[in-house]
Amino acid sequence: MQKLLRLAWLDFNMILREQMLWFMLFVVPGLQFSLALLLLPWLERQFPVMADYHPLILMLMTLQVVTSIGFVLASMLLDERDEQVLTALRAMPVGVNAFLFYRLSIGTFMAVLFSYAMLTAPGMEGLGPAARFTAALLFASAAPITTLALAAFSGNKVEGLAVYKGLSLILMIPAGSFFLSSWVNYVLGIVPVYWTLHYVDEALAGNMAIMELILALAAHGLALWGLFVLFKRRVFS
Amino acid sequence: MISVTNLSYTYPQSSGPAVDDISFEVPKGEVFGFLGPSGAGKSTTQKILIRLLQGFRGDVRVMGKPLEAWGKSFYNHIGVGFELPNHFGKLTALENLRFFGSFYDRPVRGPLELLRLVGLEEDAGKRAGDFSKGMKMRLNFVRAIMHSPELLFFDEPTSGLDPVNARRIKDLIIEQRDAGRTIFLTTHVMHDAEELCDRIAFIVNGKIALIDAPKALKLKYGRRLVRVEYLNGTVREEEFPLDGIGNNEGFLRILREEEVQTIHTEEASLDDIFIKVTGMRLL
Repeated sequence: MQKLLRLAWLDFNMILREQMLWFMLFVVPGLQFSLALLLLPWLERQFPVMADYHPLILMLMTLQVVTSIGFVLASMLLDERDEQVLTALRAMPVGVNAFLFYRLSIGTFMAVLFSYAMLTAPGMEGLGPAARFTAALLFASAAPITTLALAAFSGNKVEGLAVYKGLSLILMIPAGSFFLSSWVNYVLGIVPVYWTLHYVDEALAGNMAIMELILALAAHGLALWGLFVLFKRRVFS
Repeated sequence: MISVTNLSYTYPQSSGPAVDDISFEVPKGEVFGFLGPSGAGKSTTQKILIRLLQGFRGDVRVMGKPLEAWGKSFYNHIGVGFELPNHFGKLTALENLRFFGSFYDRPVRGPLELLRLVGLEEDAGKRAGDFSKGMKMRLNFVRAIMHSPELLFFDEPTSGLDPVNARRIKDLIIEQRDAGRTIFLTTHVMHDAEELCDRIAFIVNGKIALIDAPKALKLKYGRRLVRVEYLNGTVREEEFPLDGIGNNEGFLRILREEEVQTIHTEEASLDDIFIKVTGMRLL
């Protein structure tokens, strides 16, 4: 536990020492949270037609928050790859797998906290505590997916930024399923976030949404496993 | 301490082996030098020995145990000084050492004490990313010895260092050897190898061409001559057989009557021996 705290403290220091990282980790979520608390309800009062889309907008904002956490961790990993630190860690008793597991876990943990907070914003009152926590967990899974995808597909931080923009767009595509009624809707299920959005949608309607939950867990698990293997192959082969 | 028998390794996308059927032993307390030009297979061998490369053929034992049988605890017993610096650039030197030190399951030396050893105590609070290559290499070095491992691997430990700091690192390597540690040194700097190593191996194209003590090699491949430079109007030079030099009248006359500039025995340098044995130059 002491080691974990020490690692977390050093990570925190590294984030504070780079403007872009603390901006993405604290300012972006802070802004999104403020918008969710203040702007969305105000817009809804001005334009009542928005009421139907309020939960969806909030879900996409939550997604933005967790991917920004994923981006921060990916940037750190890219730096560590450039600095050959990951090679040094391979020759340590802890091993690079444990280090990566820690990194992804701490990111996921933060993402759970942040997304839980986002899901307490007005518009999500329909979620009970258990469903809210489950939804937070599912949203948070997008953080390690972002981290691994960026670290696997980018050569450096600048490339990472470009990949991040592309990935953010891809992760938002499933939102389109709420405007489609044909079978094409399910094609978007290839993106794991699709199942998260539909789980929350069903949960807000008071349904158990067991199938959406199982498929969300399976899709995220599969994506994480594939990206982890890809990341290790690209970095260590 | 290290026993390697018929070791071969081929990289996945490569047609030929990077290491080709090599065998050697490194007893406890020895400084063993692995010398060869770039791409000879030095670093590949080291990577196998520190378990960074899997899928090799042959038998490799470290501290009496097959390499494959070791778990993560292996790294409590070895220290690795990589060829390239690898630290967290945004952390200070002190934070880096604390970070890496926290992973070992055995006592580690204090980070400030370690930094003092390599003259970095005043830079303890400076970010590693702002260090020069030489400073990073010194930080690499102390990170390798911080947990007092029984076996040390150094890959080009004096690379990027000025003469003063290269001397400091070499003295520390000697100190480690005197403390009973076994050292596997990979280098292409013959002078370092000659000064530090009890035995050296020449590796070329993945094969070991020769293993012996530097002193023995120099005698074996040298000429048993003494070359004298002296002033007699102009600088003159003469060579005398080393055998019976005490009774060589010509030699003794020069010592008595001439203004001697230099006297050297003509043992071979490791560079010369390398070229002679392998037909290649060290680059």
